[in-house]
Amino acid sequence: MGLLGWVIMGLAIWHYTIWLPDRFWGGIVGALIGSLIGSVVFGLIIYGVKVSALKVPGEKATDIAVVLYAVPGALLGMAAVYAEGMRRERVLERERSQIV
Amino acid sequence: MSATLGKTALNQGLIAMLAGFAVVCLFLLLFYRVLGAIAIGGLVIYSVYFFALIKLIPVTLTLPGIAGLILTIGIAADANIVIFERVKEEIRGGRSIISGIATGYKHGFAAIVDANVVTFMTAFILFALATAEVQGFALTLGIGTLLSLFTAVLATQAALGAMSRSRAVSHPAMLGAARRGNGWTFDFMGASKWFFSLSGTILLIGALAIGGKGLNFGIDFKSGTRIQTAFIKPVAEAEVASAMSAAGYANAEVQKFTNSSIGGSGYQISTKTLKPEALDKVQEDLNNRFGSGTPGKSGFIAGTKDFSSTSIGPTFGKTVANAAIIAIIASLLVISAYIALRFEWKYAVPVLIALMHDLLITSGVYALTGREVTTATVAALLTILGYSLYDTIIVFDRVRENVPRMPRAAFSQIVNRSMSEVLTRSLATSFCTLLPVTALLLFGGETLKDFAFALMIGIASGAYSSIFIASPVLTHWKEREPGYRTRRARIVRELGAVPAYATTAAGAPADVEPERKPRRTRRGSLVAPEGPGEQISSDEFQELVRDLDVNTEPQSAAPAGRRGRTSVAQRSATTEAPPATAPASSPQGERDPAADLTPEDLVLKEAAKPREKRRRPRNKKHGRSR
Repeated sequence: MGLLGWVIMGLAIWHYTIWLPDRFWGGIVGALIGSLIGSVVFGLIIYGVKVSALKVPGEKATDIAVVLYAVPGALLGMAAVYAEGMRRERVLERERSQIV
Repeated sequence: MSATLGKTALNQGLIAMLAGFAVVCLFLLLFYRVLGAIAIGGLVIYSVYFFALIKLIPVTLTLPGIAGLILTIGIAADANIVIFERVKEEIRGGRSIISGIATGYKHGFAAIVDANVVTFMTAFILFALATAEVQGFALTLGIGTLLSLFTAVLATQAALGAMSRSRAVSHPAMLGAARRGNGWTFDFMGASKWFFSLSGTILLIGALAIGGKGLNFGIDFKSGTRIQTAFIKPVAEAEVASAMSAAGYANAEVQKFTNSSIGGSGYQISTKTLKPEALDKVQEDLNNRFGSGTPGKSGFIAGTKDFSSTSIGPTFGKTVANAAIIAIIASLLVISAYIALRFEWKYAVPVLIALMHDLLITSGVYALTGREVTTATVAALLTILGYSLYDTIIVFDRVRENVPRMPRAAFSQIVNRSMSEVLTRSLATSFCTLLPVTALLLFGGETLKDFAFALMIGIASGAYSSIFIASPVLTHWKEREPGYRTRRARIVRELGAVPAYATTAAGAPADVEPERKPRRTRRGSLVAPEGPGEQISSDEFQELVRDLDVNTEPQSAAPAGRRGRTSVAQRSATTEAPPATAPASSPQGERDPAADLTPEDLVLKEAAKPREKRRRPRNKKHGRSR
């Protein structure tokens, strides 16, 4: 259940990337992958630290707080993809300017 | 389960199905008139064949099976709508009725085949991998999809083809194509930011609901017992709950249901703690409490009738869900491969995202409303999966078709154009599918209400996501490609910004015709006409014009007798004639190459120009004009 909550949260947050300039590595789909991976990984880490075990929270263990664990993960995941996209753009521009 | 209760639920499903069928027929008749009547004929043939097949195979009709059947009624009607909208489009674009029907079927066929193949593949994989409950759904969906392909394309085409020369379809108004609609001019891609935000908010609420309230899993997913019984005397819900509480099952959920075959008042009692061995005691308690109080053979005259129970072990629901998840993943992989082959791999990803969107929104709404999740919900999610795929593919098919037509437009313009062309169709198909689902919600009884609710949310979400989620994702992704970046940069350079729809430099909507590959044919050889209804190919026509030595005025050489021929001749002059046909003074000469042709522009004639009267050389040999 916790995993379902994290995935929905990751997907929900990804929808707002439409307002950002499309500089993500892999575009809007790259942002989605970053958001989903980030939300699940961070959810697992934060919950893992809380219960001292790496496991997905079950039906009873899932509450609003557990679902919110996904928020920083989704944001960081998308930020990482965005940063990589910008880095690649810079490399490409540098290569172009060298050719010119 | 007692036979009466099972039969009752099945009867309710069948009544819902008939009601759904009736409202779909009514909708088709009102919206498409003669075409609607033909579609109803197709649906009747479909129903007869379907009934014959489930008798022949034989198929045991279960509730998920009925769900699959209802979905296929929607799909069968959808297929007709897809084709009919296309026929109307062609006729409004200037084709004759006969030609419009032939072209509409030709163009609509590819979309229908793609959508049906994907649905059939889903059904096949579900049948191969899932458990018995889901298999019933998959079987009816598979049979229905194949049959609908047959009836919607072949049967209705044969009927319409036979009628096309009759008085019944002598005027476009009879096909609902008399008026040329203004069309949608909405900037779908521009507004997609707001639609994305709306979806994000709904999902956010859904995620919080899953965290706060959780999903209400029924006993299908947890061990427990479900009793269905009817009391001879009228009994209040609170009294039944009180009786169960007195028997030691305070957590029992009591739901009332009524129908004529059971009589009295029927109740469904679900409890997670009741063990099968304690069932007799519960029945006795209920009899004692609600019986007549008169001593009978076993103590009292029974107060209950049709007492039936289902006990479910803890692994049953998990087995169903796990098998369904494996089947869904397998079918998604195969569908992705198919879309990548038929369209382009970049089209497959937005389809999957839209699908995920629909399934997760439905889960969120389930959490928010607290409705019980049962194995029927799994079937509903599978139905949503099938429908969402179907709808998105129909939309993407038009995008695919418009890409070569608009060789200089930005991808957002292509998608906007495609959306404006398919939105009416998409709304009509979704409405048509929602009609039987609404019937299921109203007439399906307690057992099917939750199921119908999930379907309703999922189908509405599926229609929405095809237009406002899948298409913008595709646009954003495709616009990163160097080719489309260059186009966008050029349009910005020329116009200052990218308009929602392709326009000329002056801002007027105009388009460029697709690039045609020059066909080299031997002189005198016969070539098939390009479009249905045409009786001569443009190459042959040009050759004829050259033979007649009137190539300086190709339009004047067009045979003026029949409407279809005139159209061919004029189209040839417009699209394939040598540069002489497009002098600087011609409207064609002023066209901006940034724009693209509408489907109708490809068919429509140029504005009528006053023809110069030129004396033709007399044939002195015979003394009369040629």
